[in-house]
Amino acid sequence: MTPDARIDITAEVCPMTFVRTKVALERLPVGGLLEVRLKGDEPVRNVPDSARDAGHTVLALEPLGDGSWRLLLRREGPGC
Amino acid sequence: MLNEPQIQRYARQLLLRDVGERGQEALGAVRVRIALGGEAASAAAAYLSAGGTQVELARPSSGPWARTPPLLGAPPVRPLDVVAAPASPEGEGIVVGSRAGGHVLWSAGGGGCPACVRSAAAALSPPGTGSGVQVGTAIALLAQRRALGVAAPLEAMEVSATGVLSTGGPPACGHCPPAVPPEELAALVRHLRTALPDEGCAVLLGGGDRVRLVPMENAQAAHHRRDPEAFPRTARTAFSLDPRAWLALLREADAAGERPVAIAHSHPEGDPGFSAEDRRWAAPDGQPLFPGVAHLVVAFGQGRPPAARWALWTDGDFREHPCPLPEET
Repeated sequence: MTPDARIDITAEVCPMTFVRTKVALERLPVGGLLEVRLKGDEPVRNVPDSARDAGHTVLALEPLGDGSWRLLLRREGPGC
Repeated sequence: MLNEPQIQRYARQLLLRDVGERGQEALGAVRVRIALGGEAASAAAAYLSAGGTQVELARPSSGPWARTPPLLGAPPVRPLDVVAAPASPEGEGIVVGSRAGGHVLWSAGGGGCPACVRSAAAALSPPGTGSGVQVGTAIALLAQRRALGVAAPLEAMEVSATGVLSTGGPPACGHCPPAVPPEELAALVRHLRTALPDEGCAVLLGGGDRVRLVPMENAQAAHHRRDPEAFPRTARTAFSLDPRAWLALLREADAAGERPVAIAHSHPEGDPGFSAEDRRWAAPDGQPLFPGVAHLVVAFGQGRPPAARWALWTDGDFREHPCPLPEET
């Protein structure tokens, strides 16, 4: 699955990690795919949870081998 | 689209479900003009301005909001007026007044009824000076809800004499159809169906934000039987409420903090329009018999699903509004 947009939040801390993710998701049309590169226990735990809470779908979360993770999200809507 | 400094500034607000990027832009597209003074205006300005909404104060004021104007670049397009009772906003806006030692705030717009707000606001006293910060908080909250498009056409908040903030009941509106839960409408249709082939009737009582159905009996049959000369029409083509039942209902409603919001009746055949006969009954001398009470007609046409229409007394006549019915199961 090729994402429609990619963001890298490895340099961000909470709450900007999910702020970046939420804004990027909401800029996609419903059904659009967003790939997020993230790093650290807290974002890896919380960003997928927050995306789910906001009504979006977590399609994949996998380690990239260099300590960072790849999270694939699908934008659901409307109103999310 | 928000730029980087805007995303940084409004980060926490962007996280809220009702806000997000589009909501933040909506907050920035409103200009709130506050025609009040004192603490209430200062507190409202501080909250609104920090949230990204431009504020115009009737009286110049110094404060942190004056030093941190909103970061949103686009010029605001929607004015929203905050005025002190007994005045009322021209269009979309909020009126602040005082009642029983506390404050009442009504917010109207987008389908809300300016005429009802106008007449209700005229009965309020101007806002007092107490609880200014709480009143300002309520102004900001109501204005932001309107900017975000999540506000009801007419909504209210109250600040008690001791400064306690709560959602309140908006003024009774005789011009807008009341919001009736679909299950109550479905129950109404079932009740009216049991009266067929006669006309049936019912009352909808409202209290707080709840509306409930009270089935009534059509007293026309008894009236006609007792005195066919005074009551030439039978229950097939007419309905009337039994005065004693109506009085008992009013007493019961009063005790429960409720009031009649609508009187419903059926047309066993034909359409749900408010007929000439209905108009004569509901406003015998060109004046409404039940001011502020809506009328609802449910029609049962042959081979057609039931259909309903509201009739509301507006500027000297009954005006009809559609009333979608839930699908029958």
